[in-house]
Amino acid sequence: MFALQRSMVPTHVGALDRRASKFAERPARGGARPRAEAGVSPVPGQASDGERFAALVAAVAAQADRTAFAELFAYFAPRVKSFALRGGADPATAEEIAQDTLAIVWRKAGSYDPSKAAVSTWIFTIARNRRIDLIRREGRAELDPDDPGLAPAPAPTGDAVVAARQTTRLVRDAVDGLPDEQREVLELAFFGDRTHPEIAEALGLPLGTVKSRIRLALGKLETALKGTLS
Amino acid sequence: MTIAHHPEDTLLLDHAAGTLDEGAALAVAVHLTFCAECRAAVTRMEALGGALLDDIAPVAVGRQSLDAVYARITRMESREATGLLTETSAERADPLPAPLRPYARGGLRSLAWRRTGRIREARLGLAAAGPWRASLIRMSAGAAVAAHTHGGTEYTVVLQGGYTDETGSYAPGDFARAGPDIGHRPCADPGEDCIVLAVQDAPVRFTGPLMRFLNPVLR
Repeated sequence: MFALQRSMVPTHVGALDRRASKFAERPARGGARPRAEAGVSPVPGQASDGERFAALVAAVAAQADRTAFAELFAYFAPRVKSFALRGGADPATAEEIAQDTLAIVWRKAGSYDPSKAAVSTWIFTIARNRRIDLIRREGRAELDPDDPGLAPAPAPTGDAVVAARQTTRLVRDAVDGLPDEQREVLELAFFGDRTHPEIAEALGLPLGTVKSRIRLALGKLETALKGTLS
Repeated sequence: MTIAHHPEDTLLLDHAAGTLDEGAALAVAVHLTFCAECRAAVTRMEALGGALLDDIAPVAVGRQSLDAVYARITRMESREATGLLTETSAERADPLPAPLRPYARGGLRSLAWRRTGRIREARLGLAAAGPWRASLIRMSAGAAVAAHTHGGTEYTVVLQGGYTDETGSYAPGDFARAGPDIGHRPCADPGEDCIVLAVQDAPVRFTGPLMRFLNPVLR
């Protein structure tokens, strides 16, 4: 199985570079994003970014593949660093968060489950937890998936990996379609290290306005995902 | 098990984004252990975080950064080999929800319980400095906590048994929010002791005629 994944790795270097340069042109916050590119399908015959990243993580897990890891690093480390800087970390701490996050990606590659989350989502959660640990110096109250007390989730229907891929695409489209004011609030929440009352204060908006923007954005996500997640 | 009382979606979003203070994050995380529905909601919100991370403008990392990552990996491996990061089997067998375990390493019995009548309280040590306080509160079956209001925000999650107050009835996993606008007198349901996790960013204020004089000395 991973022979196939391994053979995929070198063929996608070009796609990765193209994508990286595309996003490098984006403004740092909200604003005019190149909407026209949203929803452009991957080059025919090539796996989507999400599938490619999942294959790279699988190669790291199966055989400590440094070539695969270097690709993951090239794409995600600069994004995690950017994420940490936006949250108020100084450059040295941001670099540390990026390095720690990618080190954990290597160590935990075997526990990554492509049926549960996109690679970018998985790496976001690792980076988020490292930011909490390093900036706030406090323990993150983490869920243990093996916790015997964990209430069972509803049984997954159909092919979970296919569903997860579809979910990733739908989330992507939903995020691309958000009005700027909703996107701004989400970016402040996810990147700005601010709770929703703090966002209201920072933007000089009533708390109710921020809540309703969050809810409108979440509502669009729910609508987009209706029927794909249970 | 049906959970009737959930955190607000905006609070779940703050949790998914990782911006909650330790005390509030602890209460939400404990609720999530009980509530598959909110876990699914948080998972969807984390997917938003992943999509936004994809879109973020990258910032160049240092030239030696990848080498530094491999050095970190080597250090992590040697730490794991010496067992510093692994949980003991006793900790695994602990019936407490996973998010609470770091605060009560030896289980419920190991905590320093302080008794006031039929109510016992054990303060949990939060790592972060700041106003948040977390406690486990054990109410004997049928016992009530004296009437009080709240100086700030309080989140409560039921771990065992159940209680009823002016706002409703709460069973295991249920999440309650109380603020300065809410005064209540929680009473444990009969038949079983009720254990809750309570986190607050300001002390409660007792409002009953007998308890009011205690306010200056509490906390």
